[in-house]
Amino acid sequence: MDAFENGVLGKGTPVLDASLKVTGQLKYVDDLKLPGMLCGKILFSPYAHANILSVDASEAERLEGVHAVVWYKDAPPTRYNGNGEDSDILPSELVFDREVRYVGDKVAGVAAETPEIAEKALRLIRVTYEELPFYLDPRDAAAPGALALHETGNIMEEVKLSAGDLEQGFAQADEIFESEYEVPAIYHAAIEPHVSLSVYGADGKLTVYTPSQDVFGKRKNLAKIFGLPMNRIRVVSPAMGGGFGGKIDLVTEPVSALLAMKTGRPVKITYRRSEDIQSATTRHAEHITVRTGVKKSGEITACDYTVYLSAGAQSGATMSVAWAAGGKFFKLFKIPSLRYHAIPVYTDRAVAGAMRGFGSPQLFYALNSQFNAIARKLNMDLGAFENLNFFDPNDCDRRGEPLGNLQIKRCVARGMELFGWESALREQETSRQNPGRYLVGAGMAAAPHGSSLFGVMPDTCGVMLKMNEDGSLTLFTGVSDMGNGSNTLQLMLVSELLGIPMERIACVKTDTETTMFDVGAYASRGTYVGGGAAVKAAKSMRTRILREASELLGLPRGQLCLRDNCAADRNHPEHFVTMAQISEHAHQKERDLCVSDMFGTKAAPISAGAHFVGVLVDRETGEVTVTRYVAVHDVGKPLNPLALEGQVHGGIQMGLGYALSEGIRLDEKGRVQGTRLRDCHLFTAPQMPRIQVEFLDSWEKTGPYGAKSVGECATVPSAAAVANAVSNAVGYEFRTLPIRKEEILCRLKPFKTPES
Amino acid sequence: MESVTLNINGKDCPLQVEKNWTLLYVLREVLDLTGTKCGCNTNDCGACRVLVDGEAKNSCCLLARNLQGSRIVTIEGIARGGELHPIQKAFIEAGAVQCGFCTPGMIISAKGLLDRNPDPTEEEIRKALEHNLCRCTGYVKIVEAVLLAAKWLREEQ
Repeated sequence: MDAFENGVLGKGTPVLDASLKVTGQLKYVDDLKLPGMLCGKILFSPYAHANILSVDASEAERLEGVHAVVWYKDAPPTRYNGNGEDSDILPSELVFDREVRYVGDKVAGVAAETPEIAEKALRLIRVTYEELPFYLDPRDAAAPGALALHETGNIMEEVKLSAGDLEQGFAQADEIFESEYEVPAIYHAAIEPHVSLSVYGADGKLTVYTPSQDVFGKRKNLAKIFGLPMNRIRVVSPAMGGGFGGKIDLVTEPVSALLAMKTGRPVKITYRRSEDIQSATTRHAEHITVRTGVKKSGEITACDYTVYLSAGAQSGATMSVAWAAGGKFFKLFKIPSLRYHAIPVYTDRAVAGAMRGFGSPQLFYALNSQFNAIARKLNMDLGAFENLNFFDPNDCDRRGEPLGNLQIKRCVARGMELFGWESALREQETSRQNPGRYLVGAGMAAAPHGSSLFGVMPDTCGVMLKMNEDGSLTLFTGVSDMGNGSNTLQLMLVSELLGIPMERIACVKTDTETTMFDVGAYASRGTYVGGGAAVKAAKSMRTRILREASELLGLPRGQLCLRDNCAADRNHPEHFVTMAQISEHAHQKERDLCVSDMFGTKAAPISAGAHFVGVLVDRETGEVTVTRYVAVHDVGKPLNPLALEGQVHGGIQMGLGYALSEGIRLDEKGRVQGTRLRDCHLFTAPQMPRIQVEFLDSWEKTGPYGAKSVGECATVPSAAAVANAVSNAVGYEFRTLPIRKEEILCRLKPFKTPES
Repeated sequence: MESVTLNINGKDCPLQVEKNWTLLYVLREVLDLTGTKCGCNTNDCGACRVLVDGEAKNSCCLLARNLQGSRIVTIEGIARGGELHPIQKAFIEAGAVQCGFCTPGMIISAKGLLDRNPDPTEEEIRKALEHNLCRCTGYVKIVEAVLLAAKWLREEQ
């Protein structure tokens, strides 16, 4: 049953709702309108840290068309952690607090009949603040004597992980390298801004429509905040215009819910882009120190990694990010002695949370950068150097955790071949010897990623399948699809196993009231866990279908196959019954073909990717042009090549921006510099290099039809590879991202275009 | 309020509009044509693109009252009756659609390009999509989709 009998798997399949998307008919949350709906708006703090001494909203409340103004006096007293996975860890946030902790923190909310009235009302709210000292750098906030942002202190919980004897490891080294790296906070920049629409019914039930990667986590948190049982809260994600980790945590939902409960009217809050940039979650800014000991042979004997994470104003996903990156630190290189030390610190900036890679793009940027410098010093090529230190398939890491069928060595070897690594290095050398206006650089980086939350927390997903009376099928799943194709793959798996065409399977998704529990779109778990659950439910349904078909055809089940919407005799395919006949037969016998099953993880197989980048650096302007890009990934068995390629392409776009152009900049007062999308400097179509993506033909025995993850792994090695290419071109190791042209110019010898 | 008649997807729509209402606002909030998306409202992302007299423009930066007499085409007006336009089909087939939020604007830009240049180079396509941001696809399959659509459209001729 593990062969692709029905030809569904392995075939490039567009996302389920593609035709609704290309016609503009798919309804995203901001497209929804309900009778009596009010517009919600939020007043944001102008200060990085302040006590609110008083709020006078009387004028705002008197404005015609205003239905409610809420601030700290209206907020439920329960502190929460808006990240579903970490909802029980260091709950620090209130819907509205008496203390604001970043420029853009929530001060008050308004519900009014129109956006214009709501905005006018915001301007009428009089707030007096007492400014407090603030910290934008986690090292300042962690210093003794720093004013605490929260009662528990500024350092959250340090994470210390180790393997082997570090002292001994360094003693065995011929040379020790130590360097520091600085990486910025990054804006997710989903093209759909944050939005939520809350409805509080006369029956006392709260319904929240929100583009969400974690409807169950949001329900759990909303239940906690508002003291409601979960049967009286429904969270639905009808569609999501991009997530990338940014739509995991609660952002606007508690405020729209509070306003809906206060007014009894539906309330929708849609962030303006400037609000989204200023007040939504970000990737963690980090300060990283890496110390590595190596032998002359290139064998790494020890690696000591210390990172300060800038958590921002609230706890959010920071502890999980600190732990997750710690786990990954051990997953790629078979270094005998390792130490990981993370110091997560509250800072007076927007909350840092999950973002594609969950701490790993930072980690593998720092490691691959330093290893690039070490390889050069040892006169080795980085590919060969890393290859010497990579794990082999089915190894366990130094803490005894199994890695699964990890094929990083093959990824690198194949990437070198596709890229023409040797000749690229020769070209780079020539360019360095005889520099013209453009310096040529080639860089690479390798990285792993997990496929589930196994080992961190129970990771489960449930899927229900219901056969309708005409033999068509409805699949119910809590798996959040950000547009990446997780739900599409679930349907493909069901279609493959049951022989029912995709167009005869409907998908009901991410609705806490109708779908079984799912952990949420974390940890690149869509294929491995969501797919795993679809396979289990489909296998249950298959058994049920075969029972009916066996009765109808008078054949043993083992002699039947399911294909083309029928059950047929394997040896005489002309002898068959249709799914409609099967369903009808079941009903005749007073049976209903409806199953539910769930998948619980028993492993966390490691995926891997190796990226290769070519750049040109303009010695006159410092500008970098990325000329070509090769990415080779081990995703186990590739099930939907179209979606896999799309994931890697998108991951690369993020990596390019991370390396060269993005990064949230704050001024000395903690205000975000540049709150328009153009200021975020996402890579545009003309800036993108030619990209070649290839997947190994591999097999992960614990995965659905041999598959494991891709989503985050797609972006984890990217910035590192780009940065290495630039460093190699310029002959200087850049240790701060993004590598802006001004920075490059500083490191280049002056260059003038020869007079023509 | 002032009166204006907008020609949208071939139909005249007489409207009362405020001076500062953008075309995007009128499409989404007055006419319920929500296929045109609001990604920024600051002329940066291209999710709100529509064709105005054949040219792709960001509707967040056009005042509705200035558009009397212009022919406006939104994503809802691209399909040919009940059948998808070849550009829409190509976006699906090439895997150019992920989250879909930038897709309407991308298709509008592609239509604007292909109507005036039926055989664009890859560079010309990238240039035509310069003002459309996408965070999912790296633009790779979007560019492939436009090339494919161009081929199909030429074959129709």
